[in-house]
Amino acid sequence: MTTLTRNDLKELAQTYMLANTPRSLFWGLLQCSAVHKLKSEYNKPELKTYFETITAKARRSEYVMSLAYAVAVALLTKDISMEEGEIDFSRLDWGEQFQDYAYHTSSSVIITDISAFPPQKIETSSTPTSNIVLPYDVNLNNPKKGI
Amino acid sequence: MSIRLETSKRNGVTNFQDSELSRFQHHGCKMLLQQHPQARQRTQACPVYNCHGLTFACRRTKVLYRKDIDLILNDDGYREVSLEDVLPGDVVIYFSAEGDPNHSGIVVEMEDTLHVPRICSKWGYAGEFVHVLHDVPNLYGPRHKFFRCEL
Repeated sequence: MTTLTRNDLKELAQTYMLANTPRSLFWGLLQCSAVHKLKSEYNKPELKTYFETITAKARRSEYVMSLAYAVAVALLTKDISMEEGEIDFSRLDWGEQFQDYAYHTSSSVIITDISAFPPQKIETSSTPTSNIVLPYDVNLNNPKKGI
Repeated sequence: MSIRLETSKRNGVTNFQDSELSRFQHHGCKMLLQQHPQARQRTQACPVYNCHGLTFACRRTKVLYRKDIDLILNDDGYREVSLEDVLPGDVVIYFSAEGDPNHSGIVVEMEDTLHVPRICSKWGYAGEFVHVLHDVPNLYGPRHKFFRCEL
């Protein structure tokens, strides 16, 4: 069940029409209300099925294309644990670039996720005399991969 | 499809030409003019080039990637100019908050008293528009910088 309105679709189509570069399309769609709805109302398998159905269409209008890109953005930004090759984003001209942007976006999210690193107390004799508490072990040489 | 495109230092620029234009894209200009009544439409929708293609490739093709914009700015001797010094012929690049060059255009007029530049730029698949600096779709910007080619 989808609750996308005519205005949602119009916003997607206009974003698709106005985007000058793949990156601006990715970030533009990320701001669209339709993408927020897709992310909140569909789970990953549903989005995957939706994406495959849309991109299988022979006739690709702006509404279809922008919706396909919107579902791709929803998929890529909803679930960062998606395995490589799980979904064929190359069905879209800029699909592979979208994967790249999402990877870099999710990487920065993981690096700033401090919940995985418990606070660490370090004793020091230098001034100031109070102990310094670091938020986590700052060892980011081998950050986790998102996708 | 792409064309052979190089900077003045003969470094290749990645580019792409599109050929199809849909009815929606063709009629999209009317919708944009309703949203930006002060802007003047200069040309009809065209799939061959984008804004960066207009600014840096003589309307022949689409330039899509940040690395190529950086390459052109560097190889072709562009230097940044302040708003007070902007003259017709300079280019403006709109950047996203993340620093991505999401739009560009050519300064065609500079209002002397208020320093408000008028820009000619292409809005995605839609045509070229002549507009004041900030009268652009929300997708473009919010930052901008002016550059002058000084080869």
